[in-house]
Amino acid sequence: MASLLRSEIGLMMSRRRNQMGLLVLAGVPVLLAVATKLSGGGGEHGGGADFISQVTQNGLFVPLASLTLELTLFLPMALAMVSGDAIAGEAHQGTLRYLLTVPVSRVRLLAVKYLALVFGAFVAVTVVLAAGLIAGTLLFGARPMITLSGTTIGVGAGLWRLAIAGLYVVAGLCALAAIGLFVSTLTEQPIAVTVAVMVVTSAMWIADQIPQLSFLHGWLLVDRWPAFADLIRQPPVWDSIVQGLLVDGAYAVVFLLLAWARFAGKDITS
Amino acid sequence: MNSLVRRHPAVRWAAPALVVGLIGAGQLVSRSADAAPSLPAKTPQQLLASALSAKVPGLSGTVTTSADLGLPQLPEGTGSGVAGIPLSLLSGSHTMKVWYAGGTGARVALLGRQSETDLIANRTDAWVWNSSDRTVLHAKLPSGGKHANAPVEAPKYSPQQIADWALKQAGPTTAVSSSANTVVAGRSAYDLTLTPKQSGTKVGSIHVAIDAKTSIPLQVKVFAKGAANPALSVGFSQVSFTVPDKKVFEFTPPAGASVKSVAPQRHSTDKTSAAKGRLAMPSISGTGWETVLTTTLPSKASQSVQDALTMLPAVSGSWGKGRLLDTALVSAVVTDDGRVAAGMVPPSALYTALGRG
Repeated sequence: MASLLRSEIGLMMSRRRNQMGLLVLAGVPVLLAVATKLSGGGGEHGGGADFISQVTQNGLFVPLASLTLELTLFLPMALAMVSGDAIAGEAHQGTLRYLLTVPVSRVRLLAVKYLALVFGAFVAVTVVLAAGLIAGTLLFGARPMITLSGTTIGVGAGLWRLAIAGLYVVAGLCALAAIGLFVSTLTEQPIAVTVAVMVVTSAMWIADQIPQLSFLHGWLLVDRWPAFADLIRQPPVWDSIVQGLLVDGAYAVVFLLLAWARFAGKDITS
Repeated sequence: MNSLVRRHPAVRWAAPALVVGLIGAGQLVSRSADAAPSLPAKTPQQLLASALSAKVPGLSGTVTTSADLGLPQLPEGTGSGVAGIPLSLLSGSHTMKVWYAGGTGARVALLGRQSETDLIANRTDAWVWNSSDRTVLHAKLPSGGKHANAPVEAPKYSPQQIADWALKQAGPTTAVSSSANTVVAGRSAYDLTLTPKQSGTKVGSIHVAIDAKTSIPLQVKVFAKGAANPALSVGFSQVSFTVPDKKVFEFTPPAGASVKSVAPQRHSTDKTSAAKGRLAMPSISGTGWETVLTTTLPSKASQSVQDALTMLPAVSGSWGKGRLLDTALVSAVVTDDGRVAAGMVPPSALYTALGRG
């Protein structure tokens, strides 16, 4: 199983389109940092109430601002792309039936596919954070971080919180990957999976913005994704993050079971 | 199990359905756990007296506020409001973190999506921090340590006497009861209910949840007449009665923040300067819940006030012409010649008051 996972991850990382995707993910923080630098910081205090306005003061805010920017579109899109390849892509290429001749149960195959997606989510977020850290530190320097609560924490503590924020975003993307894996078992068209996952994600972001649907907000996967900002308070506020993880977990379990129910009983013809 | 699944592949779909069902059931169970607990009965007098004498060494928790006054949703960060407290609190729901420790300090942090407003007071200093514009208001507290340590002046009346007096005052206009119990932040609480006896008010009822163990008020809900959901609600969603760490109350303005020092507010004797540009002393008509305040605006109201007024609907009658602010609990009329009438009453009562004055 470990060797199967290794080869699956190797295949995923070697695909040219996935490498291009990572390049795009890394491009956003660089673009943000360079644009902010070129515009000369644009108003020390005039900025909005978010991490982007903090970028000029401290390079450590570049990765945080980039996470905020990429959370709505680019990161879900990366997961939507690779989850399309997972099952539907194999079926489309006609390699799925050969994969099933390997003496590995379908459940294990599904598990390997999901673990590869989890790894993909981890890589995607790491690339965003790393590119942001490098660009931010080079252009603005790394300084002790001013939290949203107005207290100052050291660079080391700031990096720790950045890492935890990254892991929290990974957890959310893993839940999305479970949805992607399920959709991937439904069709043989990888592009259909990508589109479906993006539609689901966008629909949830939109529903999350409509106040009349506030009763629904707590149940939406994306509702608490931006809660990683709560880590940049002193003391950190965990309420939303814990609830966000519970929602992530619930989505992951339900959609993994759906994927299993579909895939284990499916007639594989291609 | 395996053979069953092999013979009936469709059985597998029961697994995700079961998990969804369990999550739903779990939600329902946690809702019903909030059913009214049974507590030893207390009269309103006893409740009020115990709430007045309640003391806790410290607490920390999460407070949620929600306002549904019929005002349009104000986007986050609209106007900095009074003392750094955003006006956006007047609409929608908001979350705050609160910390309190006896004589050591108190802190309220109003959480925004990627912003925070903090009010911090410790023995020596009071701070207001606003992360969106990175401003700090700072006030040195007068002779901090001594003040905080000074024994509380012995009250002239016992909490019992104050409670009796308050209920006697409220008697003619308000029905006070404590028959129902409730659960707030997972704690059993008494529900002190105030219901106006007068018919001419917009207020339907006010519910104050008082913690059964500590007698601290945990929640206040204000209902408009005939409404099923509260127009205003402020209360703990989570609370713990352990004394928070002293560090929570410490604050040093961060680098790059603009700090404004203000003198601690004193009840100034210099009334002439303070009165300039302020409202004239209001006159009162009506009693209890039907009270209407009428006053006149200073002749030169600021431009922002004028602009705000033009957004309100225009009304007119035998009393004159003006603009009407009509919310779920309060209504107010500003006439074109600068008179103001406001009260927890429907607009018609305001027109009557304006016509008389």
